[in-house]
Amino acid sequence: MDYKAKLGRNIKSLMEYRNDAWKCVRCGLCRMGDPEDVDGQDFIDNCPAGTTYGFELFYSAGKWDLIKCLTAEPPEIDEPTELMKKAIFTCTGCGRCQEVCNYMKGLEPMNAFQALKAYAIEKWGIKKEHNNLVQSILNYDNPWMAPRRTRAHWARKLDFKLKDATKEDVDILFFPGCNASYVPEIVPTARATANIMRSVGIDFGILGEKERCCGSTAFRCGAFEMFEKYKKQNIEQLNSLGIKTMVTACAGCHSTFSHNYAGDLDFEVVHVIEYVARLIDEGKIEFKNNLDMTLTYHDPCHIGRYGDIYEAPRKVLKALPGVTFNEMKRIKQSSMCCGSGGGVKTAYPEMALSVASNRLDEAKEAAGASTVVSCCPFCEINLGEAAKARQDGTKVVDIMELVEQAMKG
Amino acid sequence: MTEIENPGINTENIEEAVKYLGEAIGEKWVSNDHAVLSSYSRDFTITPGNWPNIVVIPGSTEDVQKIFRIAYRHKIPVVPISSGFNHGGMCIPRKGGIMIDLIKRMDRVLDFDDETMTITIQPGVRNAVVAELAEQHESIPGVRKIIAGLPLTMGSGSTLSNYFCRGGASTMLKHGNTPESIVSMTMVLPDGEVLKTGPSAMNEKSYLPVVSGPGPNIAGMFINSSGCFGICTEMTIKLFPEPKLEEIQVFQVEDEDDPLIVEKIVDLIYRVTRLDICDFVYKTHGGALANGNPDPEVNREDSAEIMSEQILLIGVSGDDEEEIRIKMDIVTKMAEEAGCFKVMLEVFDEIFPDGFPFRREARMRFSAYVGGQALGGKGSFQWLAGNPKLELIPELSRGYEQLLEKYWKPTDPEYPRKRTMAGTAIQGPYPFGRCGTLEFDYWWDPSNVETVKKGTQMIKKAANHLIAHRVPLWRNMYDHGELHIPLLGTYFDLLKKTKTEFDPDNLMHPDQIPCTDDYI
Repeated sequence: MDYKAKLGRNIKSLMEYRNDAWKCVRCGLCRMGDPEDVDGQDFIDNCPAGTTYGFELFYSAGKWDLIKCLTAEPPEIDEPTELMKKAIFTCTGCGRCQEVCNYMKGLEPMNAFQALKAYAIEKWGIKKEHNNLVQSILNYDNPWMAPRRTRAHWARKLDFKLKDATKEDVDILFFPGCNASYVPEIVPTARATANIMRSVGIDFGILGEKERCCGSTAFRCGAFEMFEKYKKQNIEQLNSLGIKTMVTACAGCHSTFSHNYAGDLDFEVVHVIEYVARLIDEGKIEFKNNLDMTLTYHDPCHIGRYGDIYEAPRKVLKALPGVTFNEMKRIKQSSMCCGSGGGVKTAYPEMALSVASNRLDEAKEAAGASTVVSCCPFCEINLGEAAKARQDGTKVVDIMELVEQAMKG
Repeated sequence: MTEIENPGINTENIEEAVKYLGEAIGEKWVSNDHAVLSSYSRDFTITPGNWPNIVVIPGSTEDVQKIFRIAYRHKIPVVPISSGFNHGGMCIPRKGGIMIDLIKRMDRVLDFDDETMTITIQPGVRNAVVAELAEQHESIPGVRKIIAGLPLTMGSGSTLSNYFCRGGASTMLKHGNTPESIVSMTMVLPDGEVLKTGPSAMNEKSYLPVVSGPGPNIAGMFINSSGCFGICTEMTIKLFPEPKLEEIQVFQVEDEDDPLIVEKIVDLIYRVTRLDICDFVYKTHGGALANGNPDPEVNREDSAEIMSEQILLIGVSGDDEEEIRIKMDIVTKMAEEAGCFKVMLEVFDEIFPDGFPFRREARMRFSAYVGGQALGGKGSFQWLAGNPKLELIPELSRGYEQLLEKYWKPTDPEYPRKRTMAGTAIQGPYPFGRCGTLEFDYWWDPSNVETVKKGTQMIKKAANHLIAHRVPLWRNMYDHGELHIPLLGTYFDLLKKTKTEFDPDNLMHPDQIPCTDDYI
């Protein structure tokens, strides 16, 4: 039973989850870290929305109850309340509930809650904040309303020229994604990745201005119809390139291409952290610089639970000279989401920051680290903002930047 | 979903109460939003649901006091809930009112006392946390670690609530039932006053591990009262030394069609428990074990087929392997005398590649029983239990089998009998085998209206079946409480008087326990 493969895939209509809703026994395992790894009373709760708002409605069991009410004949709730919409759209889609529940009971809570989002959009319309994201993807091919012509500006500061994969033959496509292309705090990740790949002699290209959003943001908000339309155009473009491997810098792009485009792409999709771990294994990367720092690693949901990529980032971090790597309490399968996913950062920024701040507490208290490393731009933006707000010296860094730093002589 | 009219509740006083509650404990933690209420309206049992009118999430004993005072002023019922995972519709607000969610913010371990081997917790502390904390301690360095005699429920369950509601303990045979390990409690009474029971009554910091407080032990009145006399916001419980080694052995009867199969197993239970060398003795079903298998790679239906329907698990512990071997040899000899035989544990290796589920680590995570069943099967799970004398068990079991034939089979003929776990289980008898806890279990699909109807009928009949044998039920069931009024006599009269004195307006979890005349 490949319970992982179901995460965020083949979402059915809400009515098709009706019977499953009745099978939730409210055991509560879905809202906590792995009981076997529980160490003390802190950081045991593992549902971002539930942790923030407290009411049962925000946890899995409460949302299953909501599905019972909405799919009853006649429905037990006719009109949406503000808290109901909030509960539906504050699900970050982190997949922790499904990780546990599908393993134990065969249910797919996170997929059902994605269906709940789609149902809410169909019945009551899309949230204004999410609509802005979706319209931006449709109009600008990115969720940030940034012009297409500036998408490749991140590469201007490189001291070499990147190949244009739409014009030149390359086996490997580097796909930085919307965040690493446009968001100033994340752009260094794209540059670091390009530098690393170049320095070990990899022949690769980018799509430049022709790169388009993978559509993840729209999908996670519940705008399935738009996503499907957009996905078709992406498949045509990407398959026409004749590449063998796509290296993504973004965990969201990685899970979307691997899960939601599954079977439609003619090439393998690899997250850059896996790629760099491979290069280390092959002895192609040489570290010259001692970093002298204590850090911890935040598992992004979209490469962790969605992609089962837990060891590669740890292997890379442990290979960095002068790095003391301490683990937090909620890690790997039990990792706590940063609070940003599923359109939450856009529509409920206060929740996203609160969850991120809790995660930074964990980094500090449990791992004794003031530097949190990750390899997902969404996590890094959100954790980074929380770190800034705390003003306690906590730093959030992408692994690629550290790798690049350690490679420099 | 039935909505019961409550004369004490109207839109106006609910709005007013919401305002006052928000002022008292913070607006963020109070809601009368319809969708929020919906998630406190049902549980996984056959108990009909009902909606509360307000949900509050207190952060302290003081918050609970404030809530009670407001509830009393507005004559609104109050119902507590912690994890909400229970077998008796115990957190359904039958008359609406204020639902107090104790799991979210009252989740602190307040004290861990190595000397007295006690832990003091709030309702939101989960079994996994208590177990883990206990195991980090050694009462005397180098001697033995400490363990919690946790209830037989999952790591995610509330320890305080389970103790308060008399959950069966995994160490029952050795240390008694969970309430016997309660040292002291902090109770918020219906008028908002705080009562400390046990040694804490005289000295808040006294965790002397004796159950009784000064004078008569009035704590007993609150235990298993489901919030009818107040809400427990803090509890100190006893912990125990962990044995260095433990071993579990499975026994079964040779012939599965043996008409005396239950008698033979009960005979073995009699023998081994009176020896006082076992940690637990537990009769379950092969299907139950299969359902509880934590390994998703294993086909639960196939593994159910391999196992016998009637299985007896016996656990022993000791300081070294020699002690374990001697104890197991004695147990095995007795099993053979009782017509049972030892199943080689290697048989289970393929079925349970991560380890046999009754081992301590697995018990902790999945629970020996309830959790695994509830998680592993097709839907929901209804439970009914009582404490008969062991000699009654064969007769009671047969009666339940007849009910299953009549009610379960016609509704679910496709579902393999072995995986339904519909049947009987005997949880660890009390010390020296004086009494067992007999469970009637029914695994059902709650989305199927017909199954629900039949299941409800069957559970009511099963409750009557136990009551007819004057077996006290263990947990208040819908329509059939353990307080079966006609059989209680003076006990019920005194309970009624006490309830009236404590809670004259019957606002504390009304109708959860039938201790008033107007019980619905």
